[in-house]
Amino acid sequence: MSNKYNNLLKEVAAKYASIILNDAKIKSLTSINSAEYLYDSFVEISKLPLEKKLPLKWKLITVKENICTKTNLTTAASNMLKDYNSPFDASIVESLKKAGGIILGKTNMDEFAMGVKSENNLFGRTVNPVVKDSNYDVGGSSGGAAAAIAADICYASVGSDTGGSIRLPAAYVGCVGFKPSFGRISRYGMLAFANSFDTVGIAANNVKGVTKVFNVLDHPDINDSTCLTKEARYFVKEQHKKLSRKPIKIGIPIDWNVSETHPNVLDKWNEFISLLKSNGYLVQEIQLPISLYANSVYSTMAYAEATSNLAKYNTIAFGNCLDEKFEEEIISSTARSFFLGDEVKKRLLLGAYSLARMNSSDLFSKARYVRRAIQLEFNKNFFLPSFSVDDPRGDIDFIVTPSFFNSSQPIETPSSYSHLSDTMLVPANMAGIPSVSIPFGTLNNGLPMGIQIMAQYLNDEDLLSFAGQFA
Amino acid sequence: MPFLKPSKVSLKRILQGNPPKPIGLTEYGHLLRLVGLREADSKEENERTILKLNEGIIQMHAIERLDTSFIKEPFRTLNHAINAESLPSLPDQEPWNVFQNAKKRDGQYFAVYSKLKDDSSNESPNKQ
Repeated sequence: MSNKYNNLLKEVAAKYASIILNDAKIKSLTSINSAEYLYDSFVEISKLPLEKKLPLKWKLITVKENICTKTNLTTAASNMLKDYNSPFDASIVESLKKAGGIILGKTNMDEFAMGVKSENNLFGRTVNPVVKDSNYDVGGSSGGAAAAIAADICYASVGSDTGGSIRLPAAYVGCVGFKPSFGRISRYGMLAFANSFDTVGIAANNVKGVTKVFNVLDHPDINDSTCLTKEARYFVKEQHKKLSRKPIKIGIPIDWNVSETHPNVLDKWNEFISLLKSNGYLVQEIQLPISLYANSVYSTMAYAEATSNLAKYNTIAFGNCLDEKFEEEIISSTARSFFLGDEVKKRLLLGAYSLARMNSSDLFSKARYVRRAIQLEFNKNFFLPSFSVDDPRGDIDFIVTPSFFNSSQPIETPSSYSHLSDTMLVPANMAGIPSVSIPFGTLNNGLPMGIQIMAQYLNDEDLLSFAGQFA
Repeated sequence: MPFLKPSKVSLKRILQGNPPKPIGLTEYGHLLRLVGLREADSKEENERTILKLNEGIIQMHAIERLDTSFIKEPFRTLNHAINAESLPSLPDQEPWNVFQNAKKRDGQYFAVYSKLKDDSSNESPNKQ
């Protein structure tokens, strides 16, 4: 018994040192639990009965900085919440612990999950661990989550995905990033960015790891009214069994092949298509023209929702505050201006523009109709029904695209396409459908290539099963 | 033969759409008040922010060129699968049937009203 725990202690110490060393340069973590905490967690789990099901037994898991944990601060990478101690664990954190997972710490992100750089004033910027001798972009907003996986810091990482937040970083660093269907996983305890877009995201080295975590988190939650009920899950599962078919048909949206796609990316996309054909899958062209406007819809709707959600950080009920004594209104506006970063401020202002009386009836309303058109566009192509709206059906099982237009770039390189970097990924958030980014070799520059696979709403299991054949 | 060939269609050009009227200092100040923020201390910083906002506004207005006349209803947040479960609900009560529906209940108020009505109907026509 003593030898057993001595060996465990040595293993924990060695792992802890490795984590500290690996994270020193890339800054994937914002906080890390102590070695004593990890050791105690290992011991506590080892004392549980062997017959108890612990699918994540002793697995080190990291959690994005915008997900509430009792053991670590939950700052959302913002000075506005830099001292916030959550009094509760998010539902997903509780589920991870019950499954035997050990929460290693929190991962870096863009402030309030707004951005594509994983940079903030509180913790600095996460860099791509794949590139050893230079600072390359890791993408965002869950760049810390993906970087932690790529640096072998943890087994899996749980983040959020509002518009490609987990998938883009995963694609940049060469790991798997998965966004489940809207409503599959509870969001209780995840700080809201845009309520109609937010989903929990999962990153791991392979699809098997993602699937394992997904199965732990995929359950109803009474605390989240948008989480799919038990009855609905059962109904959908039964319907999918009835509608199961072969051969599997893959759709390639040819209108997503735009001039911004790097030639190497296009070559790898074609290479993956050839791989699909050689494995017996039927590949056919499809059209998704309205989905190209997903970024515009995202800007209009998500920023508006964010403006509403962040209104509560007014230093009266929530948020940091200044020491000086000012009138209430001055305190609020001064503190918000002081503590919020530039990117967040810009998005809040754009959200206010979208909702302004002169625009809301034209712009915001139009965005809702375009979003519905995007949803219809996907439903008309998928063979399975969406079970959410009664739309005509198509003949496609999965849709395959690149995850990005170009690979990770040096941080110092100015880019006029940064606001389009997640164009391939945002449409899945529009329609609420599941999407996964899997690594597919490397580009000519040696950096990872990401392939995105999408499936019909609530068909997450089949998507992961299909993707697991390649990653 | 590759499945896809290099494209000449530019996404950036697609998303530019019809540039709207850019916002100026007045509109910027209004937006700041709406979100509870203050102007930056320097004029240059304010101008940079306005420039970024106008770039974002151009992207937002790109959707105006799309024809959505075939869409009957706007997007609704996904939450429950249709036909998955049905919740018990009371039958609809139309305003003009309010008294008829009330008879199905035993509420005190309506019971009193019914009693008064019954008493009134029992009065003799020769009472006066």
